[in-house]
Amino acid sequence: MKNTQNTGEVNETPSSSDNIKLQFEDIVKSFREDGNDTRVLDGIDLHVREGEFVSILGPSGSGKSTLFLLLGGLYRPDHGRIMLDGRDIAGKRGLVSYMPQDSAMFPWRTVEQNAALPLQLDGVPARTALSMARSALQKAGLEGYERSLPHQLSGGMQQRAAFVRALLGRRDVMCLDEPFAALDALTRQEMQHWLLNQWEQERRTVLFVTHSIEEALYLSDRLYVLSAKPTQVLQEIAVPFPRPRDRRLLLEPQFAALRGQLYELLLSAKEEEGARHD
Amino acid sequence: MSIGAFVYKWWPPALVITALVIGWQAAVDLSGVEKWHVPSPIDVAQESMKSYPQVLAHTWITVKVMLTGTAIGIAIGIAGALLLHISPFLNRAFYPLMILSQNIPIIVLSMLLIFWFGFGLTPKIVIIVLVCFFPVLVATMNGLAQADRAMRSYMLMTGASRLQLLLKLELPYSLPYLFAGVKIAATYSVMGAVIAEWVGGSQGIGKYMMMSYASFRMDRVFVSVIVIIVLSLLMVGLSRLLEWRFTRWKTHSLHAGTEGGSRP
Repeated sequence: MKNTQNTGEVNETPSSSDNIKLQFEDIVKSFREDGNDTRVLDGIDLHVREGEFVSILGPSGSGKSTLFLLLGGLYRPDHGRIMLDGRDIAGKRGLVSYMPQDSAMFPWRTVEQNAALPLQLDGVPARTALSMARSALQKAGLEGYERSLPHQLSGGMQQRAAFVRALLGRRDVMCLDEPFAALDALTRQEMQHWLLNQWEQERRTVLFVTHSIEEALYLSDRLYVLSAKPTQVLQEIAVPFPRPRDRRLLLEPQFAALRGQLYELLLSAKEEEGARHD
Repeated sequence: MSIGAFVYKWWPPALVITALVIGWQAAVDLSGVEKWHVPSPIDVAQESMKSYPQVLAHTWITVKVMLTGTAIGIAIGIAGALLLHISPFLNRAFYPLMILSQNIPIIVLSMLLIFWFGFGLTPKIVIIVLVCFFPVLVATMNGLAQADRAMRSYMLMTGASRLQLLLKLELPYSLPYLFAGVKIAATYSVMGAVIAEWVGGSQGIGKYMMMSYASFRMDRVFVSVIVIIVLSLLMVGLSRLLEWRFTRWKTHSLHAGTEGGSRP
């Protein structure tokens, strides 16, 4: 496959002047399975600049979530460094805010109590935390649902609430782990658009994991394509579309070309994995 | 529950119980067995009308001992579960001992405790605590360990401390389990109280039962049995009420299904 100029492939390496917020440097991680070490991450290098929306696109089972668990400090890398603001944060918890795949709303807490949780964990008094949560929920279009229990909300609205909870974590970097994977196609599109709007207002640094090519292209400034296990970065791509974006973008020929190229790339990664299993 | 649902749920057991009582009455009447030997339901009803002030006085004493012992037992069960949950070492060290404590026959234990503590309230409360703490401890420990994995990694990623993880996730998550244990403890506590009073009480419904038995008043023995059944039902009812109060979110979630927002 040949890359033409307008597909926007990036060859530069990050330099310190790029105001890099977060950087994974040659991350290696193995897990013991049935007495064997299985290498999940095999030298991952990637970075996210301040205020940038970066997606990680990979086939299922490519260790994308492992990357987040490392970033969240739940695991330590076997090799390599995870740098946040120039500091190695491997094994340190609570430095990034996190939105998990399934909303992980606490069923006994009302929506506003759920959204206020990260503030309370930081020691903000409950009353202040709740009023901050209420105004953030209203901004996110959840007015009238502050006192509902999570199960009373639709899947899409639960994810909105989970996003607000992640926003209120007040960390510089937000990690979104396939947040829309469990939604139906229509709700998913609606949520992508909603997220884009929210993000364009806040401009937080975002690391977004997905296996949807369209989602990654539509939302991100830059994306990394991962291989199957043992996972490496196959390609880094700067998404060339200007912001603010809207759904018309999906109909543009350049978008279609880029989508086709990424599709081929992911397919070859998957076939390679299939061949290894045979 | 609507009246229709209530009737639907309870008419089969009500029918069986009514049939049993009628059968019992008929058997006593037809066989001509002596009243002091096997009293009929009507004899038992008449006796309970006659002796209820006395029975209530004994019952009240049992209720006080039972509630105190159950409350302490539940508190110890929860505290123990939290301790054993936090410390794997304590868990390894004490868990076998806990199981061992459940294998000592309660009658033997009652005799020893009364020998040591005398005939007062202390040995009875200790017995009830001993039978009540274990089901609560095991159920709560189980619940604490079950906490949802996604919620757990959310808490850890967000930087929750061990205490925050316990208080904001594991403990609330374990409440439905905890109350399953409380319901078992509630029924055990009546048994514990009655046995303790048999072995060494001067008052209480267990003592009343023993005295009635010793004086061949089988009608009074049956009155005590009815009191004990009612006490058990009340204890279970009380624990259901507490359960409902503390785990309302759970019943809500079960009944709500997938409907949209409840608020306009």
